[in-house]
Amino acid sequence: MNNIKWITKASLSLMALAAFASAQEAIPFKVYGFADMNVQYNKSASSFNTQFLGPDTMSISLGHANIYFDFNPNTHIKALLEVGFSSTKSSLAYNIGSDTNLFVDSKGSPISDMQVISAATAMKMAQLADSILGKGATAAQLEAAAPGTTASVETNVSKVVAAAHAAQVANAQNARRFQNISIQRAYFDLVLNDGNNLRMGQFITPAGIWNVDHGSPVVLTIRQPMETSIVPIFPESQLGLMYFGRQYLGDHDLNYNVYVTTGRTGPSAASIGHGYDNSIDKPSDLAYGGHVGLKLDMLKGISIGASAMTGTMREKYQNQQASLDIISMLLDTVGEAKVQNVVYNDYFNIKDREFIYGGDAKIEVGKLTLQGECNYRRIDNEKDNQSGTTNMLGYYGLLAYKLPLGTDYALTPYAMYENVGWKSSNGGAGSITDDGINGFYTVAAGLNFSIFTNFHFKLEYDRLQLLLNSKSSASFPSSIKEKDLVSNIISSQFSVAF
Amino acid sequence: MNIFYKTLVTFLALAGLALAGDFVVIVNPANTASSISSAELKRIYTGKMTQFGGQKAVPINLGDADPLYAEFVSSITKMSPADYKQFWVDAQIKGEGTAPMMQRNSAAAKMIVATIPGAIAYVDASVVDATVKKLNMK
Repeated sequence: MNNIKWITKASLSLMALAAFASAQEAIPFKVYGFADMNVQYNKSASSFNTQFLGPDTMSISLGHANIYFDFNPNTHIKALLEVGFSSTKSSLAYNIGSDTNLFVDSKGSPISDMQVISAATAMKMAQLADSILGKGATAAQLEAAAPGTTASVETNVSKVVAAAHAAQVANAQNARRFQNISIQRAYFDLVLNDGNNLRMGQFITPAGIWNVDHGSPVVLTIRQPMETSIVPIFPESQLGLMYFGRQYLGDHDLNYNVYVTTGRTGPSAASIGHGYDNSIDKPSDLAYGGHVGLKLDMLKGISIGASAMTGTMREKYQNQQASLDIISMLLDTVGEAKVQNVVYNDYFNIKDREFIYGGDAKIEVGKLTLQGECNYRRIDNEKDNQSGTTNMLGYYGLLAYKLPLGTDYALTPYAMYENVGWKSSNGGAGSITDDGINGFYTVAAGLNFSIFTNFHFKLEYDRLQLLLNSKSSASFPSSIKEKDLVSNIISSQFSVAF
Repeated sequence: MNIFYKTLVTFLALAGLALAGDFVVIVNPANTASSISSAELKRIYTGKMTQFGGQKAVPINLGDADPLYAEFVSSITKMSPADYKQFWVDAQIKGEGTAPMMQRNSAAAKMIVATIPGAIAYVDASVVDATVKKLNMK
């Protein structure tokens, strides 16, 4: 009797378990994510490098907290939303205070501050002469009658220009400090079979290895190669349509994808508050690309891949213009002149076309991992009457050796070298010129300590060397030498996947 | 006598290990496949192959305390159990899927396979019965 009771109880338990598991399988919605915290100390040989790395201070920050919302209602539909919360400073090479697009003429071409100040001063002086000395009086007559008036007016106009810049810089600095919520990816998949799938939405550009492996628990190092982060040769993510799949060749896998998108997103490298708006006016403005990869079932694993992409980078503005151009508007801010005959003009602040090619390889032999990527990017300036070109080449190599420490811990020492260089002609394109700096290299060495799989503690040393273009006219002061363009960085990071 | 005793103990120990490492692969009877290769198993348990035998593949792992788990993971995926866990953490962050469902032991895994049409599991041969279909290894 007792045996029957026990068997019945056990059967009920197993049935309940099966029902629970079945229900678990049916759960279409999952939430997971990762977070990391960073401590970093920079020491740069000159202030120039701080544009890339921030000031020479120790900083502690919650680097990222990314949440994934994974919705899989049935066999053929999958949706994924990844929202990133970040408190790290922007690592873009902003050049604060030199936004050449603060003032533009009626064609949208930049006007320097000095041109604006000079023209506005002349106009103001003419107005003052007219009102004080009578109609037809000249600025020279006014200056003769009241010496110092020109200098005084010029000072006032300069203050207006400076105030305009200050507001802009403050906005930019706020944007750097508090850039916080971003949608890393948001797409849904139409899953037909392993070989044929369709993805729609914003997705990580499937180029190479590191562009896809972007979460701190996945990435072995603290600082990613700059060609996939600070100066991304392939865009990090894109908005569009992707066809992807996988074919099985015996024990080996062939994976592939092709996509059509609106092209590179995000801020441009050149100026504050500006970026690529992906305006698409005609089919040729779209971006096209793809990746093919072969995973060989040899050693512990060998992967090789090739990526290519072409697209446009555009930023279109509607500029407000008055009959007296920007000068009238400036004077209006000090309460003197009036803006007349306001018109609106469309113009391209940025209009470039890029061609990108890349190769990647990863070899795992026992506990050893060797990984490398090489990417080339050519950018052509397609703005009217401009023909600048910039060529960029980046490559890196990573060597790591994993030392298991029992079943729950592992220590992985690693070393990485990266080199990125660029060369421009006719003023360059993509807001990149080789005037002054034409590349950099980094050397990194570190330790990655894995704890219970989900937790990682990393300690890393980086040395960044910016490279001077000795052949350029060099907008740099001649006193700056290459030895001044070195930064040493010590970083630690704690990350968790949940 | 001493040598005979040691040999016997060694033999019994090896026989025990061999038994502990013996797993069979089972699927739901709705699955049309009758055999499976190691490469296919690896792809299913690493999330690469999402359909098998006319069904959406639903792989089921045994708990890591079960000796079959380490045996299966190391022989089929060619990863250590720790590396296999890390593989799924990485895959999740990359947006490539989530780790397979896990069951405490072979009996529980078999019950799930009998319930879910696309389910596939590796279990101890002793639990296999008519509610599931055993696959031959290619």
